[in-house]
Amino acid sequence: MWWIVLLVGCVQEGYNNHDLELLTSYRAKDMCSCVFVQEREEAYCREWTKASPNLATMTVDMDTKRVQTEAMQYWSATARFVNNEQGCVLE
Amino acid sequence: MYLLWMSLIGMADAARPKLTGYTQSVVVTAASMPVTFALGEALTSTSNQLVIGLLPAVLTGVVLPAGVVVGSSTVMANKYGYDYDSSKALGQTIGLNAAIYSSGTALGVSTSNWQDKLLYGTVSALLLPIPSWVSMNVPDTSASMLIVPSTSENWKWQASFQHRF
Repeated sequence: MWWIVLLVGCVQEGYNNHDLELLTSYRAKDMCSCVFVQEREEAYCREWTKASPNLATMTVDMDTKRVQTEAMQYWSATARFVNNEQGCVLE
Repeated sequence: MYLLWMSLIGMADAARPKLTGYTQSVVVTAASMPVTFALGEALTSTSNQLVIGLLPAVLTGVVLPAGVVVGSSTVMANKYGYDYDSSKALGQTIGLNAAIYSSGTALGVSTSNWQDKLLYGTVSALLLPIPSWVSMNVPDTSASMLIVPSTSENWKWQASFQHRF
């Protein structure tokens, strides 16, 4: 019976947020930091922030300094650059 | 020797209820899209796990609009007297919607953006009823007259009328 307890425990394990919520938020935040704080090339940052499963698409707005990510249409996140001290924050 | 075919094809009259029915299906599907988006968003928090948490929202986005299209097309096919294989059309519409959903996902469509919802909903509403209305059998009414000369002096007219359903 101990393995049933272990199985139930494993199923319950994890974050409250769905994986794609974590994925879109992570990628928006790190992409924003990479482009607007570290000031690296967009192509480099796209490779650097790639996560598995690679389901997130994103849009980088250089004018408003925002990064928006989407996954499977229903999950999305937006990060914006505040200033050099605070860096990027999720909206 | 003269041969004259006069074809009076009633395609324009036959196609009119089909176009009307297609338009009604488009309107019904467009009206159902906000419900699909809202239900899909509500189902995103069913589980924190990737696949289990993904399926309810994605299946809603793929199956619900297809169900609405086939349901409304069935009602209108009965109303206009068309033959309609709803189970075959449902399979085709789900397949088409899966392709539309995949394309939208690859292009970065997000339900958090109202412009995306408007564009995606419009494209879906226009495309999804097409398999249903293409597969319906049109009551085709046509009449044709064949005029064939039997000799060089006397003309003999043979009129043959065809009525096809």
